[in-house]
Parts: sequence; structure tokens; C-alpha cells
Amino acid sequence: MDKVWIVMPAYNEEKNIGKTIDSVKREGFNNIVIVDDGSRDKTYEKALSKGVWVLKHEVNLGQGAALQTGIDFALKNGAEIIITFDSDGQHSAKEIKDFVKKINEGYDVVLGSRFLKKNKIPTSRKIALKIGILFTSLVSHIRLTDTHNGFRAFSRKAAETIRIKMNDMAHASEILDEIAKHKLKYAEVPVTIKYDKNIKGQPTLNSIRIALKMIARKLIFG
Amino acid sequence: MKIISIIMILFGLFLFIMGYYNRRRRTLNEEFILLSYITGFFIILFSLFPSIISYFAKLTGVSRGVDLLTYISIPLLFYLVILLYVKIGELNEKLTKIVREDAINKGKRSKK
Repeated sequence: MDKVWIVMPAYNEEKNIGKTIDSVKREGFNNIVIVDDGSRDKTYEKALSKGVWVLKHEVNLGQGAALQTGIDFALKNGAEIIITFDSDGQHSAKEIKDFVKKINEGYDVVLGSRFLKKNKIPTSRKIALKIGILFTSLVSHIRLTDTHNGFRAFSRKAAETIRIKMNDMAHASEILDEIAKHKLKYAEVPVTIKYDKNIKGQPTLNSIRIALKMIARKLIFG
Repeated sequence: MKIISIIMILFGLFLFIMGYYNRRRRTLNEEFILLSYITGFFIILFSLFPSIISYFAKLTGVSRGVDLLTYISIPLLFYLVILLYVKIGELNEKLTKIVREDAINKGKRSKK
């Protein structure tokens, strides 16, 4: 457990951050790093009051940038396994151990999949995600059941290999591209996703914008 | 003199003033200041002596001087937009690096 680090990017999450940190701590994980990505609310103060590491981006850069900052910090502090976990309470901390187990089995990257478990997913979201999955299998040549899930685990080797350069939400596709490019050994584990009105999640329209960006990137950089 | 010529001369002068103002305040790099001066100069020159541009138009096989200017300006503007995109990308990369280093160095953990 000492070598497992939980990285949580957060942007304007004062309502959920406290509960999310508590849920992770309850599972026995104490190496938690919150990256406050230039929030305008009390996210920073709330996170700091929970006795976890808190890093602050002075300006809002995007979730991809926040993840890379957290990963860099965890690596610097000797992490062997890095878990990325959403700070809005969408994920279930009880499932972290499944990711750790898979990494210990020898996988480089473990990705959470909401489609391997019964989850109540709003229809518009489901359609956007399915298009994303199809798109990823065509572009990245990587077969997955869920492609834009923030619940992931990286071995130290994978975290050192993958560099997230896309600051915005397009990082999710970039990570998959990197897995394929470096031939990292990956697996999926079923995860629970909570859809709640207090949880922001990713707007469907944004997913389309990300997909277009990835197509352009693929066409230019191959 | 046609009204459009007067407008164009004023615009050329505006480019000159803008170049001078940015040079004094050092808010624009040398290439862009030079570009302002050169563009301003040619706009004024062609507005005062439209026959020059008509001569070049005929030389390049374009019927009118104005058409030639349009054909030249479109790729030039595209080039400038690309240049700005590259610059923004570079700045974004630098900003990310600085913000990240600052966040890691100032990372805090309260005792609970």
C-alpha cells in the first residue's frame, strides 16, 4: 500500500472532494495527491483540510495537465503503482484494490470499464461513449470496452513511459495511443460509475470536439 | 483621388503608427514591426500610384491590380495565422511547464 499513489485532478469540486478523499482513505490508501487545477472555489482548502498532498495549478490548464503533474509528483515520491481517480465521486474507491491486483499480476496499465459491469448510463452519454470506443479501435488499433474512463492504474514503468502532452480532455485518447505505441501490456477491469446531478462528468458535445481533435492529430502526426 | 485610395492611405498610416507604437513599448517582436512598416509602405505606394500594381498584375497574367493583391494577401494571411498558432502552442507548453514545476515545488500536506 505504501508504494501505491492515488492521483486526483480536481477543478471546482468543493462539494465532492472531501467525501471522495474520505472514501479513498477508508480503503487504506494514504498516499493521495490532489491536483487543484486552478479552481475558483474552495477545492484547495477543502482538500488541504483532509491531510493529503495538495498541489495547485495557478491557472486552469486542463485535466490532462493536472494528471501529468500528479503523476510526476507521485513518481518523484517513489510510487510503484499510480491510480488516477476522479475527484467528483463518480468512481468507487472500493474498486482500487482490483486495479492494484492487476498491476501486481504484471500488467503495465489497467483501465476501468463501465461496460463490463451493470451501470445506469444516460442514453446520450452511452451513444457518445460507444462512438468513442469505435473511433479508438480504428485510430489507436486498441480494442477496449470503454475508452474515456478516468479510473486507471499505471505501473511505475508505464507512468515513466507515457507523457501526457494534451492538456485538455483529449488526454484520454492520447494515453491509449501511447499504450499502443509503446506496446504496453494492458487490461480492463469492471468499474462502477455513479451518474448524479451533483457530478459534472463530461458533456456529450465535448466528446465530439475531442474526437475531431484526435482525428486531426492522427492525420498530422500519424 | 478616389475615396477608397484615401481610406487605404489612412490604413497604411495606421500600420506605420502601430509599428512605431509597438517598437517604443516593445510589445511586438522585430519581424512583426518590420511587417507593419513594409505593408504600410506598399499600401500607401499602391494607393498613390495604382498603375504600379496594374503593371505587376499584367506581368503575372492577372487582369486587375486589385485581384493580384487579393491573391497575394490570402496565402500571406494564412501563413500569419499558422505562425500565431505555432507561437500560442509554444507559449502553452512553456506555461504548462512553469505551472507544473511551481505546483510540485509548492505542494503541501497539512497534518491531520
